[in-house]
Parts: sequence; structure tokens; C-alpha cells
Amino acid sequence: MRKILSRRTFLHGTGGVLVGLPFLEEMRPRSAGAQDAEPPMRLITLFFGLGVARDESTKQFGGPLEPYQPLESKMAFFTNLELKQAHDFGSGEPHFKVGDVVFVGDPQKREYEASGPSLEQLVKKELHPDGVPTLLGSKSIGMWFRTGSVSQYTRHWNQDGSPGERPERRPTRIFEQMFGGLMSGNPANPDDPGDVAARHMRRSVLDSVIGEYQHYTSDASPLGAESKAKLSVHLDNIRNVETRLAPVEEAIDDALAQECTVPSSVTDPGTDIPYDLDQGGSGGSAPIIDHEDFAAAFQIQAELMALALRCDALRFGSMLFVGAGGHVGLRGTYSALGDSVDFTADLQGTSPHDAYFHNNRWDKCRLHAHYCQANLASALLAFDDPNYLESNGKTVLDNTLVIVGTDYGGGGTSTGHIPEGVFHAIAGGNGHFRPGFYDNVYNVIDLYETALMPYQLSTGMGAGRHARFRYTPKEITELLV
Amino acid sequence: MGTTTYPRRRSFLRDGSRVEWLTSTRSAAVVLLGACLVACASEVPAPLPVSQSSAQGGSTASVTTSVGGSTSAGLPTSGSSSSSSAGGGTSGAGEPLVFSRPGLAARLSKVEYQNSIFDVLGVSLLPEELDASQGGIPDDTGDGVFKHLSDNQTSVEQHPLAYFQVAEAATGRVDTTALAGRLGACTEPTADCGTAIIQAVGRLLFRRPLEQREVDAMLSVYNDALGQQLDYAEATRWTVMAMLQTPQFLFRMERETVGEPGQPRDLDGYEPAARLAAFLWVSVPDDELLTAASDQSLLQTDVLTAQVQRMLADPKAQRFTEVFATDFSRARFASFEGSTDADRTALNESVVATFQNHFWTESGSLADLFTTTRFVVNPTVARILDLGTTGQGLQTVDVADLPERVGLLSHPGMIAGMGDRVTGSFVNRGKYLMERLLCRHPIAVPASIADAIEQFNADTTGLNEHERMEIRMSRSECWGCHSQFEPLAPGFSRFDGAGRYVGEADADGKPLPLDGWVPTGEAGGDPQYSDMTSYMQILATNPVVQTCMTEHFIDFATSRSGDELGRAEAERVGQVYLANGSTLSAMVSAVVQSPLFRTLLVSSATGTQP
Repeated sequence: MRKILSRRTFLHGTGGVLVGLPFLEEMRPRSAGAQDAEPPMRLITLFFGLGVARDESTKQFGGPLEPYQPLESKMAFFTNLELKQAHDFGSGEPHFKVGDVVFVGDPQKREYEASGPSLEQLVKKELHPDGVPTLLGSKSIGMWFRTGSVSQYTRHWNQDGSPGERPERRPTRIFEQMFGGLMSGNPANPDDPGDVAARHMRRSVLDSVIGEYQHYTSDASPLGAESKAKLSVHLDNIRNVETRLAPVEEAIDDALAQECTVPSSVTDPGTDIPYDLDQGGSGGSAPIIDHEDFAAAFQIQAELMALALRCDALRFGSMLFVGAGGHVGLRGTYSALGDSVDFTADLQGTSPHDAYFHNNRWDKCRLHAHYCQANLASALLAFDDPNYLESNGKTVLDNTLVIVGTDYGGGGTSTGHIPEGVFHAIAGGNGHFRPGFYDNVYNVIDLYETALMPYQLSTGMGAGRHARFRYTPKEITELLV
Repeated sequence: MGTTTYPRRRSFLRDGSRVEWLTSTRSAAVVLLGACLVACASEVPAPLPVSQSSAQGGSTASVTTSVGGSTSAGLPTSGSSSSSSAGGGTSGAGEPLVFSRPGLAARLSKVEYQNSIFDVLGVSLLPEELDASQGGIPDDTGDGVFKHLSDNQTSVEQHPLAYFQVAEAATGRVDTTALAGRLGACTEPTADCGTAIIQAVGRLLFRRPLEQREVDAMLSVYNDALGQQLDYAEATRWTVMAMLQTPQFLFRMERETVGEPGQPRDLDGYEPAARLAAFLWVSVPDDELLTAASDQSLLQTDVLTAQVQRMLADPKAQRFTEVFATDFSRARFASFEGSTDADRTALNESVVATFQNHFWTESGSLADLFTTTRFVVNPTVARILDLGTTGQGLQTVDVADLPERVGLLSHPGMIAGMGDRVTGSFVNRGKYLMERLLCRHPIAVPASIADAIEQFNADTTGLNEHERMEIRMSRSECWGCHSQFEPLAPGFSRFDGAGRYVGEADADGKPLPLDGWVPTGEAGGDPQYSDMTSYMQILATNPVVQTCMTEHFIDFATSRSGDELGRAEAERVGQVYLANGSTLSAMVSAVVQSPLFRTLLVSSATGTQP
């Protein structure tokens, strides 16, 4: 029997059941649905810091990309992309000014400010100008610990290019934000008249508030363009609140919201992970975290993101595994590709960025990159869980456009910040893309534009959007099915 | 390593995207260029095109003034004018400058939001409602000294979400009967009483009377509640909840497009009232201020002056200096090794109290701030100062017996806010000091030398900050930028990350000399210091530094990041401040009489600035 996802499902968690790893063991698998309705357009970006040297990415599954092999039939790998516009037109510390460009394409407007929205925000606005009919408009999550620059960790850029949500780290908080109750009231008796009236009034309040924002962003407004844009961003975010307030049964597509059981709680792995660190996080003040705990936390994040997609609690989001530049302190030994790296010995008071990347330790960069890919691949596998097939009989990954990206390429035989030979990948994508390896030179904009083409958005990334540095995007025809 | 003599020469700094190279002494001190390593002489940006006297209220300030080439460096030793009117003048290129900026909606800072709700509704927000990590109101963020500036604000989904939830919770705690009684509104479940409470509360929350359209919008919520069989109290709560989420409350907005595009105009009565309340009370105007605004009398200099004095005499004015000192010190972000939330709270409390004491109790001047030895300490700070027990709570002490403690900058809360390393990174401390003392913003690292910087960091592991600075100063690729801020740091090298005095040598026995200089860029050379006393004396008397301090007050009051207009106007405001007694009151009065505070440049409705 089909079970409709309900806010009440979330609120009525029986409590007392702490769910640790593996998260999915507590989930109730559902049978494959017989419905033929197509899931909605979804877009998730996955970022990892410090890049992969092209010499390594071109080894395909014989190098750091090895963890993706189980997803070979569902991914297209790009090993020779350019991000030169980040350098040529941007300012700031190299990793950070590239951070403004990944998943955006165009060079930054100014330091700490992108040229426009990131891909998932662009599509979100295009498809849902009045708000996404899901619990959350979008969500940004990830594991990162250097706080000095928003460009390092922000992958959600608003319509005006301002930085959006800072990626949330703590799994329990992500859980609460994704599935927690906005609506107060009486969980034991959700039909309590007082609760019904409260729901009605929240709706009424939001209607009046939205009306005021609409007035101040309209032609009748006495505000100038910059103020209007500022209020428009706020209005966009209000629309997401509005959706969360609407009765979920109305917001969820019945065909999608089949059995979708949410656990009552999750736990935060790693007793020494400073999830709430708000300052510093670099050099001597960088937290040193067991790499397995770090990975476990990210895995729960990925499971939560997969669950949210499956439940249609959100359709757009971004994930981050280590911010741009790879500033994170790790400990423990990591083994892969017949080699191993001792983070404990190598990273005392420093990070892979300093100890490996800038000391030309490409052998260690290789394993660090493998460590990142292993975690991203694990996230993708969570999306691709065959136990949870959607209404069209495909996995969440199949039905979601996932774009993997990073900040730098180069490497191998040369030092430092080379915005060429940059690695990206597309996973899933609704069957629109041809899997395989692509080593031709393209700009990341070519990839972003081509990735959006099958979805028939009215503007793509926007006519004239690349005019500032006079770039004419090229369609990657061989990528499209 | 003994006393170090570093090579000294002038180079360039950057400020946003504006590129300029001014030749006057003062201008040289504030010029900020887009590249460190490339000499780039370009013209002064074209001044705004209009010179215009105030069109309203004969006694209001002129909006045209001068940064005139005849002005000497920084503040003069004696002021020549106590008038707020700056008179016409020209830039160095002979063009008039208009000291007016386009308006920009300013979202309430977190403190302003909290204060406004308290002042209007009598409700205190709970700690969890202000804790972003618990889903409360997000923190104010952004580069620069102050965190509430409107041009640095961003909006994330948590903003409206938290505003919604907090508004519902807070209005649930409102005593609607008492509120209505205080505002003279009736309490019957009728449309008339709804209209009355909406108009009364709305006038305070929106900082002006409501338009009929706005009354109708809010009344729809009220009537909807009555339709749900809710009583007056509940209907009022839901209506106030809506008001707390409107742009009229959450954003300070001005009629940016009213007037002739490209021309400055005086703010109308309610607009300066809102600015004044945000500046001095970090809140909304009260009834008296709104009444003065209603008949435009607030535009008259004498009325404005009287209102400012009244507001400064109100305990709510303590909020202004509290927020100023909190952001200026950054003690709440101290992250020295082993630091705890309790440490940060204590450091911030003490540095704020010291700042408050200096201005409110001692009636000290800006200059004296750099030489005061009157600290207000709590047990945590007393321990850091090695003062022994001082009892519980805050106590005022004189640290004149501690030669290393001279002025507010030597307060542990200031030092702890300077950087995040145990040893006190000269780079972090230098940037912090440069922003606060010279009003220059840290330059982005040129991509061409980024790899070299990373290599440098790897190569110099184990060296102390003096040794690292010495190497940087000897390298041409480092010199250009680092010479603009790093020489400010050695004076603090004998303090650890917590602001604790560590003595004249580091743990390895290497000496920690205090020699440095203040890179003001003045024609006569950058002033040098050799100990804390000489260092602070320079800061107390140097016109570039003092003008920068004035600029901070302008930025704070106008909620805008510093720019060339602010810098030029700071010089003139500083003159008025000096002439009127060099007190906090004199500074506030000079700032609010400034055209930057009292006018706006009319924007085009189509979006482009003329």
C-alpha cells in the first residue's frame, strides 16, 4: 500500500530511536512503483577541493577516479576543462576566486561575489519562479572547515551573485532542517481546532507579507534597482518558507511521495569533529579530524540528501567535500591504488593544501584526490540505491542531474594553480548524457550549458550572460544522447 | 634577532574596484589601488556632477562640499567652523563633489531587530531565537569592520524562515492588552480596533505612518483571524506577526527614486528619524522622534540637534557604543588556543565596557582612546592582565603601572580579536589594524605570487613572526602589500593570542622588538615607533588615523562601507568634531549634520544610476 509522505510522518517520529551508521538500515525500502509519472527536474552539485591532476584523471579508473567505476554506465567524465576566466577576470586568492566560478561559469563580479546564480539556483528559479513545491527550496551541505572566505565553501550563489546558504555540516541539524517540523501544534492530535486555525493564519500572514514584498519589487516601488534586487532575493527565500507551511499533502506529488519513511533521529559521528566551528580553521588552528570520521559524517549527509530527494523534500542542492584548496586537517592512514598516505604524520598543523599541493607531493595529492572521489562516489551510490526505485522504475540518481566539479587541474608535472585540465563529471541526468571519458578541451561553461540543454529551459544560462568576457559557449554534441 | 630595520617605501593598495591615485598627503594615505606590484597613476574618479543647496528647510546643510586641495593632512589642530554646512568647493580637478549616495535598503542587523521588537512590543527575544545554529536569526556577516552595513548584506533561506518562526514565538509573548493601552488603541474584536492597533504599532515598526494600502493589507490578516473565531488578542498577535516580517519593518527603506534622478535630495522627515534611531539606539524611532519628523521640523538644525542630545541622554544610546565596540574589537571571534565561549564573552564584555567608560563616563576623545589606561575588567580579563583578583563583575582599573598597556588597542579584547594564531600572526594583526587605523581594506593576493606565498609558508615553519616579517620585507614580491599593514603588528608582538603579555623574548629566547611604523603614506614619511607609548602617541595625534576613526563613525551611522566620499567627508566632519569639543556627542552631532547622513542621491527607477 502506498504511503503518502506527510509532515505528520516527520512530527510523529516515535522518538527514542537513535539511528547511527549505517543510516539506511533504519529505512523502510519500498517496492518499485508501477506508476509511469516522470519525476521532476532535480539538480545537485557536488564539489571537492584541491582538484585532480590531469595526469591522474586521464588514467580513468586506474587513478584517483577509481571509486567511480561502479557508476561507469551512469557518468560522463571530463578531464580537460578550462577555468581560465576565473584567473583572467577575477581577483582574490586563487582557490577562492575559482570557487566563485565553479558551477557558475562566468568570472566573479567581485571578490566574494559570483557573476550570477549557481546552476541549481538558476534552474530552480527558471522552473519555479514562485517557489519550489517542496519542503525546502534548496539545501547546501558538506564537510569543510576553513572559514576565511565565503568563496571557499559557498557553492550556492543567489540570483544576484551574492553568496547563498553556507553549507551545513552537522548531520543532526541537516536532518532537522530537512525534515523537522516548522509547524507547531499538537502532534498527538493534528486535527486540533487550534492547530487548524494556526495553519490557516500562518498562510494568511505569509500572503500579506508576500504581497508587501511584491509591492516593493514592482514598478510601483519607490526603491532603486539594487534595493529591489535585494528584496527579490529575500522574497525568493520567503517563497520557500511558504512552501514549508503549506500542508505537505498538497505540496507533494502523489506519484513521487510513495513510501517514504523518515527515521526519528540521526546521530553525529566523530566525537571530535568541530561541526560548529565558526572561525579560523586554517594553519595551526585547523581542526585535526580522523579521516574515517570525516568520511562517515559526509556519508550521513549524503544519505540525508538522497532521502530528501527520494521524498521530494527538495529538488535542488549542493554538497561539498572539503572546500576549495583542500584546507582540512586529517589524521589516520588512507590506502588506495596500492599505496598509502599517512595523514597523521604529514599534516601536523597544516593541510593537504600546504603539505602536498604546494610541496609538489603529487604521489600524496593522488591519494588525497582518491579519498575525495571515494567519498563523492559513495554519495552518488546513495543516490543510486536500487532498493528505492522511483515511479519510472529508475533510481534517484538516474532521475537527477548531478554535476561534480572541483577547483584546479594541472598538476602532475607542474606546480600550483593551473586552471586547465580541470576535472568535472556528470552523473545521472535522466538518460540525456552519453557515459564515458571526454578529454577534449572545453570551458566549464560549455559543459554547464550543454548539461542544461536537454531540459529545455527557456534561457539556459541566459543569453548574453557570458558577454562580459565575450565567450561564446560551445555545445558538446558528443555528450548528448 | 635584534632590532630590525626594514626597507621602507611606498606602494599601492586596493579598494574595491575603484582605482585612483591622489597626490595630496591625506589622499595618499587612503589611496587604494588594484595591484600591488604595478605602479599605476590614473586620474581621480570623475566627481558627481551636481552642486546643489538644500531645497528644503532653509537651515539644513548644503550637500556640496569640498575636499579642497588646500586642506592639510587630516584633521587640523584647531577647527575653524562649527557649522554643519560645508559650503561649495571643488575636488582637486576643480569639480564640485556631491556628498550624497544612492539609497540602499538596509536589512535590520540582528541587534537592531532584537532591540526594535523589545522597544515596540516589550518582548525580549530568547537566546535560542538569536542563535543561528538553533534555527534562530542568522548572524550579520560581511567583510569590513562593521557587520551591519547594507552593501555587505546577503539573504539566505534561514533569514525569512527564522523571521517567521521568531515572529510567531515573540508575538505569542506580547501582552496585547497592555500594548493597546500604551498606544491608546481599543481592544474590541472589531475592525475599528484592528485598524487602531495596526496604525499605532505600524507607525513604530515601519518608522512612519502607514499608507492606507498597508493598513488594508494588515487588516486582512486581522479580519481573517476574527473569521477564524479568534479573539482580539489572538487577532492582534497574528497581525503583528505579519508586520514583523514585512519589508517595511525588516528593511530600512527610503524613497530612493523620488526626485530627479542623479540629483541629491534631502531626506524627508521620517527618513532621517529612521537613520537616527538606527544609528544611536540601534532600533526604531520613538513617538517623540516621529512627532518631530511628522511636521518636517526634524530637518531644522536646531531641532535635529535637540533630538540628538535627547537620544544620547537616553540609556538606549549605550547600544550604539556597544555595537560599535563589539565590531571594532572583534573580541567575540577570538580563537586563540584553548579559547572558550566564556572567554570570548568575557573579553567582549570588558572591551565594550572600557569603550563605554571612555566615552560616556570619562567623556574622552577619540585621540584619548589610544592612550587611556582606564580599563574596565572582569575576572577573566583581570587574570590576563595579571592584576590579581579584582572581585566579581566589572571594575574600573588604572593600568598605568603596566607599561605594555597603553590605550584601548592594548586591551586583551582588542588583541585577542586581531588574529587566530597562538603567536599572533603579523599578517592577521596587521590587516586588522590597517582596516581599523587606516581604513584600508586588505588586498586580494595577486595570483602571480600565490604559489610563492604558499611556498614561503612552508619554508618558514618554525620561525617566529619577526623573522617571517623580515624575510617578507626583503622580498620585492611581498614588500608592496605587506609594507602597508605588517609594520603595524610588531608593537603587539609581546602579546599572545589571548592578549597576555609574554615578555621581551619568545619561548625560544629570541627577542621580540617593538619597532615598527605606521604606514600612513604621508609626504613627510611614515611615523615610526619603538615602544607601545610612542606607538600609541602616534595614533592619538596622527591626522590620517584620526580621520579614519571619523570615517568609521560615518560608516556606522550611514550603514554603508567606506568609499572616497566617506573619506573626504570624514576630514570635514573631523574638523567640526574638533571644533565642538572632541566628545562623543560632538562626533555624533557632526556626523548627523553631514550631507552623507541627511541626503540621498536619487536613483533612476529603471535601475541605472545617472
